[in-house]
Amino acid sequence: MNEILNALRPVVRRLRLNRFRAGASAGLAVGAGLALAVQVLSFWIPLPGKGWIMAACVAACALAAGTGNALRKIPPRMAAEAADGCGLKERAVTALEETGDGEMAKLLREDACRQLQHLDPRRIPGPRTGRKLLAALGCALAAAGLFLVPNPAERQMAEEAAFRQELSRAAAQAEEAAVKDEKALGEAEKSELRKLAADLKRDLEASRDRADALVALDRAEQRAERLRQRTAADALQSLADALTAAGMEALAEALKTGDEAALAEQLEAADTEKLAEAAEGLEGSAKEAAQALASAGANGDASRAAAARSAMDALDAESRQAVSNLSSALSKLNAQMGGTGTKTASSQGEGDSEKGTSGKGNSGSGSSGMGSQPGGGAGRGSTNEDMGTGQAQNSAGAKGSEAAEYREGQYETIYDPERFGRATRDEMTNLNRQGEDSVQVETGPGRGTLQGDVPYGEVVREYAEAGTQAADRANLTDREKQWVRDYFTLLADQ
Amino acid sequence: MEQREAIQNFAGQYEKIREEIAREMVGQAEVVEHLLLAVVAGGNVLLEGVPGLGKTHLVRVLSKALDLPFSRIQFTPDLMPADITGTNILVRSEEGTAFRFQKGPLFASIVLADEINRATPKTQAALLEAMQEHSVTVAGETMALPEPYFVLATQNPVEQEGTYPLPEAQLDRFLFKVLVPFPTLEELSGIMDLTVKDSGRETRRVVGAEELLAMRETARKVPIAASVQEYALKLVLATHPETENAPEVSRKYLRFGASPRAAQAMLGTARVRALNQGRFNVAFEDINYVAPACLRHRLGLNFEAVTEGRGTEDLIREIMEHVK
Repeated sequence: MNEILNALRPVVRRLRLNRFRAGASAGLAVGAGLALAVQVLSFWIPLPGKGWIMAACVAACALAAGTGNALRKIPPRMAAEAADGCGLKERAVTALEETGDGEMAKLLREDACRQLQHLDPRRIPGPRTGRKLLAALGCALAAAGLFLVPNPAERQMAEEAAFRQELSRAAAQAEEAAVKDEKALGEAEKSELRKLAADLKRDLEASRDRADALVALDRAEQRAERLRQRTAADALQSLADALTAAGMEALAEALKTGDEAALAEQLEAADTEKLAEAAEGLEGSAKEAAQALASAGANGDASRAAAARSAMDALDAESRQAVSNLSSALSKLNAQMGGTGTKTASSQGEGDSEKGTSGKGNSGSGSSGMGSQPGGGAGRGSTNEDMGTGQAQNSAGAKGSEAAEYREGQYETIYDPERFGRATRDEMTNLNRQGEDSVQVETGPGRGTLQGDVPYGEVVREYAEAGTQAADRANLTDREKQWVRDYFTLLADQ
Repeated sequence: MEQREAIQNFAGQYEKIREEIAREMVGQAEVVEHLLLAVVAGGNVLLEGVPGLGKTHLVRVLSKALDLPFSRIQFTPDLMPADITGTNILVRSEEGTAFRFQKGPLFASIVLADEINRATPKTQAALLEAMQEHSVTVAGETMALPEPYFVLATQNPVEQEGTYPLPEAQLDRFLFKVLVPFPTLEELSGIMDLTVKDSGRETRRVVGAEELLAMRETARKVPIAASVQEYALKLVLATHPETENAPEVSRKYLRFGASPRAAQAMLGTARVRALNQGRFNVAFEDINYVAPACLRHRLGLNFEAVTEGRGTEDLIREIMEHVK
């Protein structure tokens, strides 16, 4: 028996190889099918590294199936039958079954061993893999063909990747700007500036969409503004302290109020030498301001006025220069991201009328940022989408705009005068304003006026609640949400 | 060692017998092969062919090659059972008159039953015991026939008038039914040459009775794989239309199928063939070779087969295809 088993070893090896091929071809078909499924799935679910996943599916399935199939036990009988199939005429199988010790059995085993030794295992027919390979090829071709079809999920992934890159660039720019600003700051301010830059970087990296990035930028801008104001205030305070220490309290007070005229007046009585001494102990813009004050001539109002102006300018410069790089970088980034762009004094020095507006949409200049129609409450102009419509449209796939969709139904429910059964047509009404000429305003359904048909007092709380809830749900910055709250607060106060 | 020698010499002895027969028989290689297989396996053979093909001559040559006593019985309608088995005759001797059994032509090793289908069923039945048990019972006394013992019967497929077809029970006792084909042109030419030219050479003895028995015993030891045996059995079962897995052709055209003797015949003769081929095991091809000869006389065709002209040969072929 042992000699037969030994003689069957080459056949067993060949069968294992055949099994591996059969398993691998089946695995290839399954893997190609899986790859096709991954490819189809990628049209709905973004899959990073999809190509690698598909390749891994094919390779892993082929290898696993081939190996698993090859490692299955091959009974000696199976090997004997395979060998007999190559023309041994049942010698091997009979030799395996015949366990007797008679001469016939011995002759049979000798004959079988002899024949097995002369048998070329390659004659053993291989597995039929044609269909499986065809199936694999079909799936592979289908998967490859789908690469030519526009993939919305991949486009979304590409946009996200671009967005991430944009955020990384923004974080780098902000960091670079912060490094530039560090040179002009004291240690405490430096530390805060670094923390600001690090927090901004972290927030940008954690941003899921453009709205989150805008919120992060806005938050950083506010912190930069606070830092700027504190730095400017510190400079002013250190100068005032130096002046007070030098016995020039009145001058210090005039400086604090920022009144140039008063400052120039105080300079008349000031000791310029003491001023110069005080200036030596200061740094930065405080020193500059002090030197400017010290340079005031004893003669002439003009020179004192100039000195006062110079001092104020120096302090303003501090106000402007502190974290200026970071602030302008943040403003630029805000504009690039399609945000409202907080216009700080350091960047533009313009008034609050421009806060929260992009100058687009129907907000109108000169009006309060929210509520484009007079007394219209939370009308169309107040949604995030409308505030940033232009920018949102410019940046393809801006996610912030998707979430803050104008929910027309909700607004109409609130502002529909039909609800109170008092719908009227539009008409012109005289609006008398105290101390001013009367003006004519257009009133009508849904437009609140002092003489509107909607009972304002009855609904303002409901409107306020709905409006603030809507603002909280929408993708607005904190400042914008506060605007909504402030608006209704003001209305309620009235 | 003797046994190993006997096994290894089997094919050589077999080949010598075949060669010796071929010296006297032109062509008919398949017939000779089947005949030898059956003789070595220890079975009886029914030879069917038109007159003049050398069936009787073949058996005579065989008997000479095997050096076995030979007798020929020409079956005729008036042949009585006692004519072939023997009978008691009254013999006068010095002691007085007494009955003495006179052995009939059955008492030979090779009995040629020529045109067996011309004898009456009663006479045909007289052969049954001899064919199966190798003994004859006359007047209550059973006498053994010499070993080895073969009945080689012949029948004419034409001239069916006045004949008595062999009953299935008797047909079943023939190991093989061998169809003797008409010779080809070359074979006919060879026959003519052999007839005209007298070589003056007698058929030589190749093996004797003991050696033949030894060959038979050796052949019985050839192992058969379970799958091969199962194949032979499935073939037999497939000829039965009433079995569950019978092929459509069996259900449609057969009235009854082969008996277990067919399976014994197949396996026994397949063993001989395997040794003859130089193998020490039975292969599927051995079963395929002997199956038609084992089955063709054991199948009963139904009316539909007769009307459609379906013969046993193509039915057997279809059944073998189905079982394969």
